[in-house]
Amino acid sequence: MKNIFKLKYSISLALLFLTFSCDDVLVNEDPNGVVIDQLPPEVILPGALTVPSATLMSDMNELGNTMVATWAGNAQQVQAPYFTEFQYQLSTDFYSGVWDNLMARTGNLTQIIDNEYADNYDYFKGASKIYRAFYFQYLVDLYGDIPFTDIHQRGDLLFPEYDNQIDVYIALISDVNDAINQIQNTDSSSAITMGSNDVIMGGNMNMWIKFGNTLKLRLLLRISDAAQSNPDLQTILNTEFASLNNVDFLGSGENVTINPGYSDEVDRMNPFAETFGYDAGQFGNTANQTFSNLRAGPTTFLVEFLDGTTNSVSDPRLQRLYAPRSGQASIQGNTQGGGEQPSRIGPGLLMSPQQDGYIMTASESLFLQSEAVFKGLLSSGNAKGLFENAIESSFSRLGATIGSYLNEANNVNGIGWDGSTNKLEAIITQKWIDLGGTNGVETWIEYTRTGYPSNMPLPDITNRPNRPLRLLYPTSEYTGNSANVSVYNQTVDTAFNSSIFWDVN
Amino acid sequence: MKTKFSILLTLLLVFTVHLGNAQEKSISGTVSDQSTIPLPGVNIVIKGTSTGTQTNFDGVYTINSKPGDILVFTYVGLKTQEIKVGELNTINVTMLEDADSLDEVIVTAVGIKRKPDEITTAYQNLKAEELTSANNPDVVQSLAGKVSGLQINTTNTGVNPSTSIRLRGTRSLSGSNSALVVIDNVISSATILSDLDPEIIESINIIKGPNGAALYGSRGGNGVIIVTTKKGTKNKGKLNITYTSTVTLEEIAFLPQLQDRYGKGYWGEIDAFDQGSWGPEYDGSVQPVGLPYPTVNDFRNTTYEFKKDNMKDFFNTGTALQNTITLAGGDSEGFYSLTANRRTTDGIIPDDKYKKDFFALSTGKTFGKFSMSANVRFTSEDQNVSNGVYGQLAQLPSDINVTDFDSGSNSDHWTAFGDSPYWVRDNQRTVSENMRSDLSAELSYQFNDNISAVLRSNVVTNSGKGFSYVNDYVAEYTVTGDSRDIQSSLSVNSNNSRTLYTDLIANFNYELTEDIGLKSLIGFNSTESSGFSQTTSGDILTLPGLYTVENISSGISVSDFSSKRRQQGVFANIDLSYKNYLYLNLTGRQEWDSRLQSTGRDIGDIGFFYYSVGASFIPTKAFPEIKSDFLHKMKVSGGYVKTANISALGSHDLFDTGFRPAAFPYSGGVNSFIIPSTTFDNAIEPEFINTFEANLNLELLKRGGIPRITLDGSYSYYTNDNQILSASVSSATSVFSAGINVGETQTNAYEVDLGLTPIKTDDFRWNLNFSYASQRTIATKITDDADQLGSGSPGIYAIQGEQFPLIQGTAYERDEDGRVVLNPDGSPRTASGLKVLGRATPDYILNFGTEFTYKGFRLSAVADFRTGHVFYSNIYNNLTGQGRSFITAENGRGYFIFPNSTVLGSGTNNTTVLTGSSYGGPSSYAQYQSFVQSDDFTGVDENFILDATAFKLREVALSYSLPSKALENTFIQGLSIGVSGRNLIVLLPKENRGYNDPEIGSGIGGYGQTPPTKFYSMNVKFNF
Repeated sequence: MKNIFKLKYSISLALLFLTFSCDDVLVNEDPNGVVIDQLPPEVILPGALTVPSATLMSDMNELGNTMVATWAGNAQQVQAPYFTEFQYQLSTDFYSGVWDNLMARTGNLTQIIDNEYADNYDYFKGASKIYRAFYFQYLVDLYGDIPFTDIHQRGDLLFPEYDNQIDVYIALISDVNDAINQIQNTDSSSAITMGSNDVIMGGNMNMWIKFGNTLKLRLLLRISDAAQSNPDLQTILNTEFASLNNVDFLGSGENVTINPGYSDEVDRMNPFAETFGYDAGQFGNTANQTFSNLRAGPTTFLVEFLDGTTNSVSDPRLQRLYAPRSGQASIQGNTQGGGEQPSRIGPGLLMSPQQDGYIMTASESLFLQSEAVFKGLLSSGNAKGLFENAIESSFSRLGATIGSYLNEANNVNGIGWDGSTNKLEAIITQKWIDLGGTNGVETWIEYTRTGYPSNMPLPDITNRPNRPLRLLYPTSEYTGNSANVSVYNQTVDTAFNSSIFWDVN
Repeated sequence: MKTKFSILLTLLLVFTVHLGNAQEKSISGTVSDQSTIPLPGVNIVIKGTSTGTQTNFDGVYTINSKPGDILVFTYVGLKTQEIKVGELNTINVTMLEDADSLDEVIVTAVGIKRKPDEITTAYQNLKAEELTSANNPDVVQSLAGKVSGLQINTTNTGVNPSTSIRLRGTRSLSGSNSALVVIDNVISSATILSDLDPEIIESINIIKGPNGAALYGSRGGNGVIIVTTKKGTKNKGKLNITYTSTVTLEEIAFLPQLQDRYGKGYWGEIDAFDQGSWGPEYDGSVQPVGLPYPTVNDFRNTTYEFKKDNMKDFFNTGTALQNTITLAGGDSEGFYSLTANRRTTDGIIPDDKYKKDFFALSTGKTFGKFSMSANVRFTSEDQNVSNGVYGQLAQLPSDINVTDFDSGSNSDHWTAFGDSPYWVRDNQRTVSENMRSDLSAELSYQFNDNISAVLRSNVVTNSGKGFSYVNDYVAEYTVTGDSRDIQSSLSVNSNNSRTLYTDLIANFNYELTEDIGLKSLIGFNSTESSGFSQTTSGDILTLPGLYTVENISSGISVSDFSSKRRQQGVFANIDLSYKNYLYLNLTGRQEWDSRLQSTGRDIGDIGFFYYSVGASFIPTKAFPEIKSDFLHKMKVSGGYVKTANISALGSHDLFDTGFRPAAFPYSGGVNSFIIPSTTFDNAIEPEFINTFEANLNLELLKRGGIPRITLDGSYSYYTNDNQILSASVSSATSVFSAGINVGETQTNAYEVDLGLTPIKTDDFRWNLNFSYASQRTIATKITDDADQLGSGSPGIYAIQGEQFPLIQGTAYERDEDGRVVLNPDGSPRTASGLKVLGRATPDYILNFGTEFTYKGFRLSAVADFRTGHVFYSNIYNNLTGQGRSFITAENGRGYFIFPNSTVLGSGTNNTTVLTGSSYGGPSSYAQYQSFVQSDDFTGVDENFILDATAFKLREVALSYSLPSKALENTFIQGLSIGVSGRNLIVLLPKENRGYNDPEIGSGIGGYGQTPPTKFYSMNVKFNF
């Protein structure tokens, strides 16, 4: 009996000890970071703005420049340059980083938009909504139907359903409206200002409103043709265009640029300069060019378009956009898939490792306004004047002297206002010259929408009869969201024969 | 600290319990074994009481008892005797061998010692000799081929190879599948096991199923490897010194077999600068090769002919020296053992070096009912290895003499593409040093015959630092216009970690009735692990050869990571025995693990419970009438175990915390933290594993005192539910992957071991072992919305309804007859998406072992055969792209009829349409090259899937121990010498022309540090 008593005694002691020590097992925090809902918007914002922009400046730029005849490859120094691009081998891995980075990294903007904070972060939330709509427009333009209602819920909703592309466009327009309202109508005495954490506008909310209006203009113009056969869309278009009369758009000199503090160091350079320029500390030293700098150069089509061969107008921007490689007396092009050595990317595009990154240029805004006025969608303004302002703005941004270009080009069909039988062709072709190398993907999308520039040659090495119209849903969707993506039954052919909804021509 | 103090306090309280006994008269005597040698440490108990004693070192005991009492004499391995006290005051006892349990006592979970009959699970016990015979310096590697169901993969080559340990294959889709390593009853790691000098290991018990492991908590779910180290000797007062010295030579086992028809060139022309073997056919002419060196005018020439295995000249013969000295001694009350071991390895890549010093002190002492022991182990490692040499050597065309380019300058190279392996060897290196200390102490107290308690504590600390560098290279001149310059870079890392481990266990041992015995324990375990690591890196070193962070002139990027986790468990074990033939085992454990904690989840959310039940039955003891010389012994056992696995969770995974994007902070001072790209379900639970196991053990045909045939069979069935999968999810969630509880697998595993002793005489004995192990896991569910999980092409995948793991990759489009579909221009079409290319783990593994002993000679061999799986060979792919693999020359180079093909829409076998003309190049040869290098051939993963079947003669060892007579008049007590070889024969299927050892890598065979190697060792061992 005595033993049993002692047995109980020891067990009780042991159990007592266990009872008291259980809470010791908790660690209560992650020593490596702050839980995301506790992260202040000031801390999230710089990264949220910067991270997706790198995709815009490098991957999306290169994608667009190679999908239209802007860039060729340097076949003399690189084996089969841009082979996949120029063969149009569009697969689920083709530029899949565009989807993955834009989709995932805009989650930081959603975090700012949706998380509830004790303080008034309306400026942060409004700017984030506009900036998110900017990238989601590209996601629709490149992929069609995409998840939007279900996005960015992390572990709470792992298999987001796809929304109809038209619905996403309408939602984006509405997001921009909301954002502008939020910025304009918040209690400005309590609203926390973004200041230097806003690495795009430096906290200037008027500029965010202008950016929002211009983005809305672009969204509406993109669907303006499709709306003609869709009465619901036409109603929205009419209402929204009416709301754009008498608002401020981005004007001359008002480029939307980002600069979190780029410096001449690995990973910290402007992403365009880092990818298409030179190694850190070697800016302009051609012996230390990056692989992409070695590989990329203008197409023969572009060079001939600008040097006077095609339309007898010599465009001074050519010398800013491209520069001869060693041994070249003048700027040379190559066909896409051809065997020549094209010139290299020029000083108008590659200014310095610290150069500002372009999100949306003033010239693009002016081209958009010109088109809207020309089409009668905006009631005020002068279409030709806006068009010429846009070209001046383009020259100025690229550091080219405009001289008599406007006069020389004015009567030339396809590039000048008065000489063009179709003003839209002049607008889109000029936009292609302007944005080629800066925002390549916009030129590809506008080509798909309008078919301009005309007579653009296909790559030498593709068997496809036309340029791709879109990208395919990426591998990550097939592995991570297969039930939702597989209903689309995409094949490689989809990229060439299935249009985005706004592509009605 | 608080925890440890509490445990000490508890133990002290427990110690205050004291027992006393009445005295009647004093009985004494001597206990000896059959050969009349006195036995120390024999337990003597008065039956039915708790009064007892032990014999001293001379085998003498004294005990107070009354006439009529029954004294029970017990000694491990000998037959228990009961003697009634009569009038005599002296009782001398001779203990007899227990014929039925001559076999060892097995150390099982949490240090419980069990006789084989009592064990209800499949296990295999390895003795020291079986581990050390082939002189493998790494204990983990030396387990290969010796245990059915245990798969040891050496996953890399080099001076300090890495290994993976799997028991019964791969079942968990994303959690750890590695077996738990326990050393001297303390949970440890494979790294520490590899540290141990094989000479200090006494035995390794491998518990194949999760059964015994329920006591170890979630870590034991994949089986347990229980290591027991030697505990000194019991030779009274005598110091025993053992000295072992081993020399090992390492050389390349095999290299890829290359085509011998075409030499260096491009598009069918000889090209001095290219690294491809796309030149014209060999003609024996003298040709310029490589970059001019040392000046731009100095072209080297070589004969344009095939030079077999020309890569070999780059390598050395590797050497490894291993010396161990052990001093051990002890008596009945204490033991000590001190081991020092040094291992130095010079790899087959010149200058790749590894050095390890290992010290261990193991000591213990008994003071009456109280005993204590301690282990102190210390390891220091230094490693200095090159990075990427083999990858560069694989760029070597077969007509090059590699030593023609050995100046060490990167300008001195056979091609303008890639870098000189000599330069890489000297200029791209990783230097690291590591220190580990492993201290453990054990206190135990025997309250009485029935109750004892043990407290174990263990502290393991690890600290390491190292750096990897690339030196600058500036080409003196360029020949092709391509810059071959290399910018220097440096990455410095340091890490430290600490694990505190405490067990407190109370044991209860009762004979409930004459026939029913009860052994039970309750215990408490607490483990805390914490770690810190930091990596600092940057580019452009100001002063060449100075590898410090201050010498970095670019921006510096720093990342650091801390972790801390705690686990606590309370557990109980009950063993019931009925007579000597029926045993029942029950275990249960409640565990709390901080990895399950997150914002909003508290103590109630982080606990989980699991349990096991097992039984064994020995019919030959229950029904002695069925026992015969033919059926010497039969044992059946089985059980059910539920256990858990949360190894898929990192310490703080459930906390969704912000991270700093790579480039931040920028120079303007703007810093940022953004949301992470992975996340976890906040309601996550552990993976639960349910296992049924049934075992049969037979000992047959007793001749000459031993059973000549042993047959052990085991069947087990696992379901792993609720697996924590890091599922790759839609980027639209804002994360790329999320950890969720979803996957389910079912596994059937079989192991059959057959042991034969065909010959046994006094001098000669021959043993043979065969084992068959098969394991088949089906992924029954992936997630609610996805039917597969995995990444990469080629990559390892789990696919619903299919075996796991599978390799998937790109493949050709095929018609219903399996023909490759060609476009009208002859180019093959690639199927959309990924296709299953085969299974990544073997269908079955056969192990073979044999051992001959004749007087002092011992000859043993271990081999295994693995088959039924495939792997993707990167090397094969690379050699094909460079025109050196066999397939690129078999049928010449030009247009060809694609084998087993059909032209799209034709529906017939293609016999006319040639492949090749649609690819770029000026000639049919060039177009063939373009085809091979295109996405239509080297880009199609199925072309590089190889049968992973391999037969390996893993060990052959011959040793000779001098008879003690020969050493009679020397100070040497024992001397043995041995020679051995490892990996001497590797047989691969024909399609794997030596590209990879399929064991390297995990289904995706890359380069490894060196080509596969084999080893020859010589060993001498003295005993003083």
